[in-house]
Amino acid sequence: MKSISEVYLENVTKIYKTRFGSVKALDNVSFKVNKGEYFTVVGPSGSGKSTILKIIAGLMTPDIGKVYIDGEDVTFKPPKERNIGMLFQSYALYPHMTVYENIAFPLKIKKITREEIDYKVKAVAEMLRIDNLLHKKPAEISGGEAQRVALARALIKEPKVLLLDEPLSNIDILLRSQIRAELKALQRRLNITVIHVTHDQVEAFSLGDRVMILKAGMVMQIGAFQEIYFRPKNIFVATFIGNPPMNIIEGRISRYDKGCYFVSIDGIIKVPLPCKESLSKLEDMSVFIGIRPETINLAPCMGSSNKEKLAVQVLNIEPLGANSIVHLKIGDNPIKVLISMLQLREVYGQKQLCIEFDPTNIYLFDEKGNIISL
Amino acid sequence: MLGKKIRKVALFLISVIMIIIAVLFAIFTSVPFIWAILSSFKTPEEIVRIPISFIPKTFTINNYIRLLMETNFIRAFLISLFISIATTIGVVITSLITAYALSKTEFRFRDIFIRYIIYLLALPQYLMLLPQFYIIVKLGWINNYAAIIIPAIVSPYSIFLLRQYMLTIPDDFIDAARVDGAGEMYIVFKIVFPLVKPAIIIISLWTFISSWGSFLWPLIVLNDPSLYPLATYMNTLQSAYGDYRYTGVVMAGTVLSFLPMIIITLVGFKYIVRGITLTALRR
Repeated sequence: MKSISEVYLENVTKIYKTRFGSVKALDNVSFKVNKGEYFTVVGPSGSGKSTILKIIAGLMTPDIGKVYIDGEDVTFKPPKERNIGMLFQSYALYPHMTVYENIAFPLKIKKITREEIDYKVKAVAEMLRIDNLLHKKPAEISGGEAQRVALARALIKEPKVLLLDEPLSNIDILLRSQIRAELKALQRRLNITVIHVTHDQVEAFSLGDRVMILKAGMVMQIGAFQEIYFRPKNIFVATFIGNPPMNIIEGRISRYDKGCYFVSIDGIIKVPLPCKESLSKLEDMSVFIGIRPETINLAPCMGSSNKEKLAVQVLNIEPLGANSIVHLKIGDNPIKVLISMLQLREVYGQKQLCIEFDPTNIYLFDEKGNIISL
Repeated sequence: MLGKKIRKVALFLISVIMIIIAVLFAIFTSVPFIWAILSSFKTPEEIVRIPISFIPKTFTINNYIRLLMETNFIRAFLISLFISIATTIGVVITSLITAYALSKTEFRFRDIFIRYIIYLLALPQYLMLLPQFYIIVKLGWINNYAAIIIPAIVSPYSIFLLRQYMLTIPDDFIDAARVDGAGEMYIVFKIVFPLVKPAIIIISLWTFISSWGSFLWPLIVLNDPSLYPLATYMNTLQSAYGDYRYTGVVMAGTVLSFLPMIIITLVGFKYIVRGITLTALRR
């Protein structure tokens, strides 16, 4: 074993019983988080992200499966025996206690001497630059300050694992990138294992050493950014990562002129594909291709002889600053293209535009949405 | 335009009528009480004189002196104080723990418990009188204050009110405390209690006031009049001193027995109002 996994969930299933039946919040979820790793969990709301944190913290027990922390089975252990720090989305600072009392709370329960508590509170407050707030009540401090106080309370007992539940969602957008950098720096300095849950893909990839993508309680993919971006396992992951999302076009595989092609349902978009064994199985079946908006080349039509260029109809241009999203239509297929400001200048006012797909950046999915290697 | 004017006049008339009704209601309810206060300062002869005089002609505090010197009023007052405080503390503790269990923890049959408590609310109190009395007899608690305090320390209404209030407290507070290593009892008294203080104050006021005024149950379970709490004792005072010469003393006792309730109501008035709006909104 090269590295000990700090947190390991094994085939965890959690079922919520509601008045109308039961819902699988987590469906056979397994993953390992290594020591000192910054692990992010991302998924749309209702995908089971918070349930994962609650199960690791011991606030919930899984219906099936096991939870290991530091190699020890803690599935049925109460939260206080797990030595975990947790930052809640609402921060959950006790309103009737001062900032000092809030931070000292976990140590006070452990019945540590007052001198030691005082020393530790002041040290952690200084590290997080909140030492000037200690006498205030939570209602008197700002959102960003409250977050650091909650972080101090989570860190003061020197936990094995730090769980962060949507820590940045209540922070001003302008402050977020600064706090992201601070969080990452803090994690590196303390060399602590962090599991960070978010619905924001930018947050997930900018912070996480590895990212886990969840959908409806199921793990879609786990990996580093490059892996997930370049080798998505299915349409969900492919369209979840990247902004604007990957273009997905439905069509069929067909063979002619000794080559293999993807042909869209309306027959207008034809994309050449390498003729492989795996393709022949899919012939005459419904398939999808995925093309990232940033890999499409949009330019005025020139040298009309090129077969692979397609004439397009521009619906709308959405300038975002450095880049713009161009909404196009090719036949019946809506396509989004991401172009730079310089490209936009070239394209502007042109009556006829042509697009070209980069053949090395095309993904093929079967009818269930799973990737087929090309 | 005309229709609008008519509607305005009608609205004005309705509000005038409503104000008149409210004033009449206030007079009807407060006149006996004001009369009792004024009478407590009259001489016995003046109280029974016809025509009735409202304002005392000869102002005397003799009734109060006789009440405190000649009767066991002070003892009954202290007994009531003890019973009411003990009951209030008991109700607060049991309601806090039960409401916490019913709102913030999960266990089997929890929803059945909650429904059971709501049914209890609908049960008329007097229906319980006889079965409760038998239990008290079997326990041998006749002439024992436990017979008054113990049955009163579980209040379905308080549990219900507190549970509804606790539902509005975010679970994150409790989860955070659990992760930080706090046990359930520690959470109830150190985290939840301060957060539900407004509801606790309302419950305390209600319990104290109803306990202070309870008359029938002490009369049933206490045979020895020297053990009677205030409301029950005041009744014996009235029958024992039925003679008109003692009416002023009884009035003085009535006024003094109301005093703690008036003080506590004035202090807690804003909380009581909040409690009424609270139940009004939550139901």
